[in-house]
Amino acid sequence: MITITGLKKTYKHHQVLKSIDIEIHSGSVTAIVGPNGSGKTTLLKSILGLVIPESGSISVGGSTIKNSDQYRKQIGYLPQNHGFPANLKVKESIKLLQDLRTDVKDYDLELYEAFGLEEYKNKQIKHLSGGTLQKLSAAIAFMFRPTLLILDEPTSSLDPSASILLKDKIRKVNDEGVTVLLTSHIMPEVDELADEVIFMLEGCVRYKGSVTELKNIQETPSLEKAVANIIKMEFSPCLI
Amino acid sequence: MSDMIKIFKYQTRDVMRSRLVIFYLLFFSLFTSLLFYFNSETSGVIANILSINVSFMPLLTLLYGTTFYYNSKGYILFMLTQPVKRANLVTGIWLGVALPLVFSQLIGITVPFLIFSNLDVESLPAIGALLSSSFFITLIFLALAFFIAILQDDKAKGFGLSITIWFLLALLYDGFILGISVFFADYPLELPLLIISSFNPIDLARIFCLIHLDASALMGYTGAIFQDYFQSITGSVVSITALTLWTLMPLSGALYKFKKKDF
Repeated sequence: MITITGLKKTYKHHQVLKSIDIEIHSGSVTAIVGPNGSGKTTLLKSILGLVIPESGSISVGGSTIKNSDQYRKQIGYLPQNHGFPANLKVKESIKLLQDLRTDVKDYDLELYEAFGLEEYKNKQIKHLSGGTLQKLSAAIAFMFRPTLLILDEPTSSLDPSASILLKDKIRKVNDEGVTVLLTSHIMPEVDELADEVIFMLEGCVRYKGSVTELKNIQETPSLEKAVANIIKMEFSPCLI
Repeated sequence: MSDMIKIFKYQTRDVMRSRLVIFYLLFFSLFTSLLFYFNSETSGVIANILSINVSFMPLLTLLYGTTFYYNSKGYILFMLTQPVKRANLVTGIWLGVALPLVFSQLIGITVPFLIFSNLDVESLPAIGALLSSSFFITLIFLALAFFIAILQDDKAKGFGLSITIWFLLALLYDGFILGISVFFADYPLELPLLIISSFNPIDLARIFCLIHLDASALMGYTGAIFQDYFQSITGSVVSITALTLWTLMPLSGALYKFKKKDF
């Protein structure tokens, strides 16, 4: 689904990504974890085309993403912070995206309905709470039936019941074959959702494999402890 | 319908509901009505509105434009994850912000003119020129604001740059031209000064309006020169061309930087 080869990115003399090579298989749920500043966000942004890498290549669904915007039709993105114009109503924000995505006619409104967003449809974005905005962003991420879901801290600012609804939906679409790529600082959530983990440290991939294998290597049943153990480990410098 | 037009359509809706658009509408309606109350001469009212248009509107537009861009970063970032071309996104947002502002100014100025002035055919070109200069000032300074905000991620530096540009173009530039004209008084300066003044969109907008009005001497040195040098038609064509270029240059700069920018 996603193939990344020799990906490098430097911001003002600081190399954030140091020759990343990853393959993410179709139908998997992969979590990118690592401490702050490890390069997780830059990696996600590179896949989304928000960051232009200095070298290397990324292909999504078999086509290279360089100089292309159409590949994003495959992607449903849930950002950490919402992104809608403050004075637009909820229904207008959705309509804007629906107008842009003329390729999809049959919208997935399951999460929109489950979150009860219909009652907010005539409210302006600026009058919504942080939690409702997160629900709206999540509902939109699924709305256009993507084959790849990119979720950045998906349950942040969601209440427990909304969080359960979202996680159930992630599992459901994954069962239907959708590839999921997520970042989260909440390790029990990663443990619950992901079958693969990419652990990043200082711009390098230090571990990529199954969650179970990582826990076995670190000899702990807790993913949180396994990740904490890797952070403490000393690594040889990664390939630059 | 292209993506740019779709983005423009929804951006317009958003900005039409913003406080600045309502403020523009009320301010220009009230200000123009008050001018008519104190001054029955249409040319005098036009000259007064023009002085606001070329002094405070550039600053207000620059500050609003940069603030808008910085506050919309989340929206811009999200839209960039959609199958939309970067150029279409920026152009759509820029037009969607600019046109409601222009619209509220035009309504705010035109309605009092229709109510209070004795409109005659002779004053129509001057009113048209005033409205056109408002149109260009908003478009140009909003494009400059977007260019600054795209160039400079730091909000404080972006605002600083906006204020500096306004200070240079609105205050220092005419003083600079006046200095040249005094210093080189013995030389034929019309053509050099015309060329120099075309590097300032505020001077250009002022000139464009003044060549339709017999009050050029009131509005700065370059305005008077332009009226002497060009007659109305030639002056209008040259001014509009230069103002259009002034709109396209910062917009092209903004698009160029935006296409290469990391978010």
